[in-house]
Amino acid sequence: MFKKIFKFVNGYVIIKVTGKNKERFINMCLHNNLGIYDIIPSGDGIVMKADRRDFFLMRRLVRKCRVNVRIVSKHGLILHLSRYKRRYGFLMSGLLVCIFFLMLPKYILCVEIDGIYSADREKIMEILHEHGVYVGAKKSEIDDLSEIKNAVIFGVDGVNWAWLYSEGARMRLQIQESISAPELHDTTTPTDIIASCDGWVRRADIFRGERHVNAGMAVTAGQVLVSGKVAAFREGDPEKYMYVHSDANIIADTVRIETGDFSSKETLRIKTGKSKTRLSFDVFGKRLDMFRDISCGFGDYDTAVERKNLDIPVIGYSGLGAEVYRIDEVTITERELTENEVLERAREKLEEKICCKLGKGAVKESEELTYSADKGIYHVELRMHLRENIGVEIPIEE
Amino acid sequence: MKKFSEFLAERLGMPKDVMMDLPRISICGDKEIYIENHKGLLEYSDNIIRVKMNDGIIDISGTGLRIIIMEQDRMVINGMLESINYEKIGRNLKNVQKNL
Repeated sequence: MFKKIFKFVNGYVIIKVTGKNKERFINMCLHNNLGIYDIIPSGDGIVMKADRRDFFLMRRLVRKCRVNVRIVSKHGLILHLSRYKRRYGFLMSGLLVCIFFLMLPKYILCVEIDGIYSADREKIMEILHEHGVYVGAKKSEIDDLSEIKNAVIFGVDGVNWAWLYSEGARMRLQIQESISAPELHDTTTPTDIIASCDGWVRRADIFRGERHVNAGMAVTAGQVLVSGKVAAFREGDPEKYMYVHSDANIIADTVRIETGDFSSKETLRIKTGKSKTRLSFDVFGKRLDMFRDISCGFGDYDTAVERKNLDIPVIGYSGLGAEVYRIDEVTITERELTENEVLERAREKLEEKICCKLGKGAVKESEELTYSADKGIYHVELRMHLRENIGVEIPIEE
Repeated sequence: MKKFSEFLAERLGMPKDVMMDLPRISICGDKEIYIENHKGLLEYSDNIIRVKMNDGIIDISGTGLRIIIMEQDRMVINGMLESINYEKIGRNLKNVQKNL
């Protein structure tokens, strides 16, 4: 392998030797240590490869052996490069491209911030700008990376930690946002406990506050179950009240009802097999689309995007990238669902809706699904029987 | 009469190809032939290759014969070998061969 590479770099010629003493020519070449190899008989002559330098030394032997030598083809890196020997413009432009790529990592051409969900992006950008990190800035003029990192950590709320990487022409800031601790339950504000929905109370465990409900009672939504206004006087004494933060578990049987309309038709997007690829270049943050219309003449289509960056070894990100769009033609068809399928989908959706409204520790006892169909539209009602804590704390009005 | 080098090789138990500059030929089935201590190529075509040795000529016939490696003292020939003929030549013929 290395031998082949070495031969290619040095260059070689394929020659055809014809004449009476062609075997003698080969012997003499070997005797004079001239590099010939891949010797193959071809018609009336012998074809062989000879090293570029040794080819010029063969002239004397050719005369001595009285053979004809004809060059069939020339190969090798040096021979290819020699074609461009006098093309100064070409050489200059090649040189300029090399200089350009060498100069690239000296400038910041792209600033990326990863891991932001709730932190202030503009504030981060402002801090980076203050420390000389912005598109077009010289990398030699920016502050120490750890200093910038610390400025972001201490200067932006909600940032727990940050990492700043210099990857060629790209500066990448990785943010780790802090996760706020859950709020402590307020037990000092005087509150009443009211019913969040209608229900039949099965159990009422009152820990603090004045009882207004007992097991077996039917309650309506908004009804006060436990009052935070507790009487603290004896009969005959002037009225005196104590305000407390009520605490109770009111377990009741409830019925939650949700309704919705569901179509019996399902839309399917089926790929036809026709697909096209479109390119879009990203040159130092500017997007250059290599297409006019991304639809490619397809009526309905799905698009998948794949991004590729030009990362040069040692240098890193060069500021050049491309986005490859794969556009697949699809046909949109409608499928008629069976009644069971529609009801199963409706049940899932309605259960999800009800679950969003439930409190902690709710247990499903049973459920009923009723429906009526009209012109392919199913009007579905889900009644879910639950056992849940219906008590909701509300501050006492003065 | 034995040559002195042959006598020495026999006595000392040395390989004769080293001591007497004799050719060493290795054949791998009917596919490949490896020749050491050759003295040059006499004829080369698809069907026949004639190689000069110190005391004779080796004729190799077959089909699709190719010289894979050819160096000053060794040669590897590849192809479908059919026959190998060793032709010993006398002192007078040697001089004729030398002129080749």
